Amino acid sequence: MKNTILEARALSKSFAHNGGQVHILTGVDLDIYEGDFTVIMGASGSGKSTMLYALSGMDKATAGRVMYKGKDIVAMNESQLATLRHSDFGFVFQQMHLVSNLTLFENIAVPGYLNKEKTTAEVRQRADELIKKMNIDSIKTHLPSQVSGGEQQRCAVARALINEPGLLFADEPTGALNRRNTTEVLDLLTELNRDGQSILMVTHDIRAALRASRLLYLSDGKVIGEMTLPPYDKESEKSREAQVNAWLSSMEW
Amino acid sequence: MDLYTLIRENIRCKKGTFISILILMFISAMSLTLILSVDKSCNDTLDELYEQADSPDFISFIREDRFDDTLKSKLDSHKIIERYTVTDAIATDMVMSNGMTNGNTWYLSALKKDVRLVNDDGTGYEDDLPELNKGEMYISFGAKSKMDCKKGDKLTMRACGQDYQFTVKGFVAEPMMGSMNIGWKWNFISDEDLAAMRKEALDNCSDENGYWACKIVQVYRADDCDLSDGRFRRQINLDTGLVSKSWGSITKDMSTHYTNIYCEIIMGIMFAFIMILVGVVMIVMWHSISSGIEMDYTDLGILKAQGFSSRRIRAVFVIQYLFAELIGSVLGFIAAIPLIGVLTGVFDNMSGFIAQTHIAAAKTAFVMLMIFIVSTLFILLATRKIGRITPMRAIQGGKSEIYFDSRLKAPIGQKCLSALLALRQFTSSKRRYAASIVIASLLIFFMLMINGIGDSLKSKKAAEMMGGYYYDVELYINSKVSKETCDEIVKVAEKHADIRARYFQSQQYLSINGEEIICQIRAYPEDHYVSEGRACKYDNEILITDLVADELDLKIGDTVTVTKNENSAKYIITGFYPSMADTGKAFCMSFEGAEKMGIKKIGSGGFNLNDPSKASEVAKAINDTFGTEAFEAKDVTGNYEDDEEYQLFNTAVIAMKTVIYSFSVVFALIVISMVCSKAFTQEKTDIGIYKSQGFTSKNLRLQFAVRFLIVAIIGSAIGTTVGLLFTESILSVLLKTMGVSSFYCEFSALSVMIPIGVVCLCFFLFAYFVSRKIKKVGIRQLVTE
Repeated sequence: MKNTILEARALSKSFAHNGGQVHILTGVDLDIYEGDFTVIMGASGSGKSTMLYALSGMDKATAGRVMYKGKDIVAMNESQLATLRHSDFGFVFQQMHLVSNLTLFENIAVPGYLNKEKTTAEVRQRADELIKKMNIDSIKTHLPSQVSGGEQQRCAVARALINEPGLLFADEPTGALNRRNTTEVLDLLTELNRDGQSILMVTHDIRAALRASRLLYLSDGKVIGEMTLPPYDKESEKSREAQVNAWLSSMEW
Repeated sequence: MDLYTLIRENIRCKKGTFISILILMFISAMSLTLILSVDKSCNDTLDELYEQADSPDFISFIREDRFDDTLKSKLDSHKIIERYTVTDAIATDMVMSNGMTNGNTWYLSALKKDVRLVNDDGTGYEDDLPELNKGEMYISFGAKSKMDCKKGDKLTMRACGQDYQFTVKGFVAEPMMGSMNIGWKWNFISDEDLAAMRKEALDNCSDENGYWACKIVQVYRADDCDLSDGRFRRQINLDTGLVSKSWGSITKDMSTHYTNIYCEIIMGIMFAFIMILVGVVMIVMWHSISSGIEMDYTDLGILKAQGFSSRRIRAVFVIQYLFAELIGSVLGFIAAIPLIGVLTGVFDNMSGFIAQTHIAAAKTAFVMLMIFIVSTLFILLATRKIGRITPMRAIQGGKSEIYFDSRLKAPIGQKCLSALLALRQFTSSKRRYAASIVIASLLIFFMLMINGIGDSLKSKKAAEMMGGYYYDVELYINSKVSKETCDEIVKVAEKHADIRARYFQSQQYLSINGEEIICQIRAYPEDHYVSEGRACKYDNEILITDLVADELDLKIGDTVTVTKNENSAKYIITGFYPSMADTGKAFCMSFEGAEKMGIKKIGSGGFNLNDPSKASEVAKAINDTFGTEAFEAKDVTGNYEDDEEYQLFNTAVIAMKTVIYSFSVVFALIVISMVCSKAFTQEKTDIGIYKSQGFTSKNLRLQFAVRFLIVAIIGSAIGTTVGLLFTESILSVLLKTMGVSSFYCEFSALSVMIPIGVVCLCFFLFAYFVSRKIKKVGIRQLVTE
């Protein structure tokens, strides 16, 4: 029996548009389990990213609850959300979004400095470990503009992991990368998951979806399908792909 | 139409910038209109009064017996004199009212019909000038505040050893000597009183220095004489000896200079400040355009792709900014009109007349036109980079190349994280803050300068270095004393206190090479400050001021001929000294040197003590020894703060401080608001990233505020350095007309710290306030749909 790490109930999100309301998420009920590599898929405009941002507290839900460690994220104020972001959650964006005037090392370390439970030395040591793990040691003093997209995204992943988050969110982390860099980043995420890191990722890339242990399909603001997979194994990628493709077809993807 | 559409949309989208420029120009134009109009009001009113009072080209005060037939015939026959008038007068050498004493000479004559009577509320003039009855007098409006008197007050005047009491019937605007800055005053009494006083003087006071019964000679230049007033007076003196034989004289040019000197200096400083603010507007505009181009890089590329030429796009910038300037200027001009009269009124007491409001429309329009032309050039220069934008490069995001120009690798750690990140953001985009640094420096510089003036007003050392002095013990001399008496007074004083300086002197007009100049005759010249060379030691030595050296082309070591009446002798210039007497046109000689000119007595005196607390003891000892009939010693430590002139200066400085500080705060707010909102727009993504990593809005606003604090600190360092290095020389130039050719500034720690504190606090708080928009930045904007 898996432990639930994040629980969403009746989660809704609407936007004001041209004097009316556009409903993106409509009463989503969802559980995310500890240790899972959960991937949310769906057609463009299905509300994948919106759901990810609402679940991670990056954006406020219009209604509903998102429970994390017994606390409702939706009811949190700005300060509580800020604490949640730097102590419990990590986030990887599609466009990396590194701070352009900080070096890669600094980009990784700065969120760590917000964590008052760690000293500067501990943060730096953790940042160095992550940098080695992400294989960007030789370029850690570079500015984001001086490195490749893949290196930037690896840096972004390291940044998301600096505070050892309970849950790592990733919004199309390979969306802006070429094939080689995509594989690198996905391998990294798979390895992290293998080490026990819970991951919730949004993607419409089938290759990324193959890494999941659990797939969710979102359509018109609701989760309409779910599929569980065994741990990723490169050897079985072809059969896994066929399995996922079939499932996606059944979802009318 | 395309231009109109672009301009309209630009203004709509960037209304913050438009409004900011408009407000800055509103303040600048309003101030300029006020400054130029106040200056015009003072000058034009004075000219009108000269005309109404039929003022001469120069006026001389001459002893009755010296105005003899020979002199008259020379004046009568002189070709460059159109006419001259002679008025019987009596001179007084002390005036007392409401416990105040004035040692300047007041000339009393029968009422002149052409002077204007100031109305009771001091806002204009009466149509009629009622006759004076016995015991009544009209006094010059410029003496009103100096004597702290009002209508109906009693004034006591001393002439040839006797006291005469008069009731002030009213105040008149006598333009030639009405200014508070001119010690002499021409006041009016009844014919009966004048006759009685003159008779007493002529019958009983004829000592060699007596000047009680005198003539006021007003000399008018012939139409075909094109000499300046000064040259005219000199020529008349060389040909007739009128000036050398007189107690003193004043030309219309000098009168104008002395009368409007405060107005011109204060307005001059304010004009310089406003011009600096206009410079600030230009810098703000430059920054706004420059960052606007960076932010709109893609849009500009698209416009080019649509066929807009660089010239056309630049025209849009020029028109939209000039439009903001024009609206601001017009509104500023209109807003200034009701304030001109109020501000002009501030100078009434100083200038001695009620200035009428004159709007300097043409001059303001000219200056504004110049500003527009310079603005246009600035805008054209700032928009040069539009020419380098290619559609392809812009659409591909060329702006990223110019986003962060460099960075300082100051390590970032857990401690002071916000401050360190702010420092990084600052060093990463220094160019963005360069304009703000320049502006902070300028504001600090001006605040420091005005504080320097304020400090110098209070500093005894500064006063000495600039030719003034403060007494701790002052002698109120009823009848002039000899050098021997001065020595005896000093001996008595020395028994009771250490004397720092002995200030015993007389002032008389003597001529140097035919040019009449005030001479300060000093009993102990070695006790006075000498700026270059050395004090006079021997009886054939003099010191001159920088102004005299410049005007008469003299230097140390030169020999000049000094003349007074029938006495004439050669003197060597041994040095330069500072003096504010006659706005710096003065020279100085020892008492021994003055004896050669027939001057044998000292008219004023006092001591500066090393320990001012002993002033009472010294004064008492002098009074006990010499009695109080010929002179009376008084402890006057701290009295200077009660002095009317000091208070007027102080009020003017406080007013200037208020304007400079408040304008600086407003400008700081607008500049920060503009720079901040641009930075905010450029950094919106970074703000989102920081928020996504767990930074709160408060953290991020603090970073913004710290960045501007860094800007303010750097600006303060530059402004303070420049201020400390150049304030003296700049003020020396600005105050040269007042006789301060070498301004001495003794900044107090507070005077330096207050501007820094004000600018740093304003920059920090305003940035924190303006960055409140950070609260509204959501992380959602990082989502790529």
